[in-house]
Amino acid sequence: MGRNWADLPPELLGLCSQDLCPNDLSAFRAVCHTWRSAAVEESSDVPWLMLGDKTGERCREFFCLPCQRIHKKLLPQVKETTCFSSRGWVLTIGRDWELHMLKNPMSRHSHIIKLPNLEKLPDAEVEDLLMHHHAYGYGDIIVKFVLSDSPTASVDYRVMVIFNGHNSGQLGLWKPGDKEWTEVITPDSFNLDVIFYEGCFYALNDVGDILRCNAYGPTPFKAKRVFTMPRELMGWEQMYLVQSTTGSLLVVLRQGQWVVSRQGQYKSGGTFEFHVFEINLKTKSWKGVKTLKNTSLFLGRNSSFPLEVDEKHHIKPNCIYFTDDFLDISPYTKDGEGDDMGIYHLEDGTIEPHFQGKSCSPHSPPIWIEPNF
Amino acid sequence: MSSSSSSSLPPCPKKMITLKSSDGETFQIEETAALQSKTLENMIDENCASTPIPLRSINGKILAKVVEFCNKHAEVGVDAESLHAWDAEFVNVEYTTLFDYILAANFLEIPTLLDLASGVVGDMIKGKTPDEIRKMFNINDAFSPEEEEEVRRANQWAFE
Repeated sequence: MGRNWADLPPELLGLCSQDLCPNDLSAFRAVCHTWRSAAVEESSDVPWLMLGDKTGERCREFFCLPCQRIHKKLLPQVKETTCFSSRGWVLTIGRDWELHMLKNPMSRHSHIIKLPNLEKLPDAEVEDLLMHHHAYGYGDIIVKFVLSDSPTASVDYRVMVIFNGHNSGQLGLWKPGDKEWTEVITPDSFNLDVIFYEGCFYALNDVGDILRCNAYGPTPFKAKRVFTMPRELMGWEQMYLVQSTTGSLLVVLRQGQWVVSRQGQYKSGGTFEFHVFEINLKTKSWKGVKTLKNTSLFLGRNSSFPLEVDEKHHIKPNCIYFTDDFLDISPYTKDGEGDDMGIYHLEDGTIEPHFQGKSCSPHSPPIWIEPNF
Repeated sequence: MSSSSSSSLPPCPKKMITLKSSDGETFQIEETAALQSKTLENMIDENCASTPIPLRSINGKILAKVVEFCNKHAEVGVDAESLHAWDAEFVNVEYTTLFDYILAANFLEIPTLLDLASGVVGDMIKGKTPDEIRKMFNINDAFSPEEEEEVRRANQWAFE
């Protein structure tokens, strides 16, 4: 005897849909009327890997960690743009120099916010760069994008970027309504990373200073030194700031080696080591972190985030999920970059791949998208 | 599993309750196993379980399987891994049976069975296009062309 699956009570159909990823949930909703109304509200508790831009494609591919599949989504807004991500939002830098923020592209609810374009960054150098880099994208004009909060969660949010990434690594701030970016005054050093932590932006620069900037305070915005990393922790290829799931401030050091690119040029890559330190800003002290317990960190060209994981997420605990962050956007890397990715196990220092395929792009390599909707 | 018992103590009598399916079959189930069903637990608590309990929405074939499921999950000393394997085999059934499991688990309020059966339905859907899902579950309640278009537009995921 047949059973009519369209007649299963909605709450039971809802149960059948509850563990589906946004892509499968979308298919579920498109089956029939009852299934559509019975489907659970979309949500996401796992990060997705947004794969590199393929020239000319209106769809963008996303790698879903739990189902280990690639999902394609029609996203003409990100076509041929350079992308960064923070709190689930994606910053796109277009070839027309325009900047936009897109709500989590995995969500079915779209939302776009326009930001002042690259010419509105507070530095005359930018214009030279724009001319110089026209053919290769703008990968090092902005090198980091950080939101204080999701624009759908708070109207009074702030956007911080690290710009002039090829030489000075300055901080630029924007708040809703501003017509241009405002420079944050910092010591004369290159800023490597920024996060929003306990109500302020914190930046880490290449001489090991941790700077604090109150983006809600009076202008001009200044970032003041609140901690200096000890010398023995310096000299690493890349450094990140991350807030742990328990609320402490972490510094993560990443070491790569010089490798020869396909074009025969030397470039940084081949990540082989990470170290994690916990910084106590009150006591101005630091200590090594041996284990992240049931947490894993997601690092790369996204704003760094931690995630508490369990078996259900299909994400391994005590690991660092990293994407390529040693990008040298230059004429020599026209084929693109993005292959220095993997899962680093803090316990034994081994590395395994998270995405088996290859995804490189000259202007928009793979990035993590934080689950946030 | 029966043991060749030569113990001097008489076995403690197990408290049994009787379930009656929609087609009149009766099933004996130990009270401890029946407690996995919140519906049955309430009846036991209210002393309504001394006479056969009629379950008019569950036929004998399904009720036999539900009793088997409850017995297995009430077994002592089963390790998680083998129970997991047993569960996977249990729901390796036709869609119609799965459908009946979900309704029965819902009626009897057996969360473990409900999660298991609905999870399997979810797994079957993974990676399928809406069309494939409709075929798989024999659903004919299709959208009108206008609605189809709206669904397609609202749905930017490319199904392949």
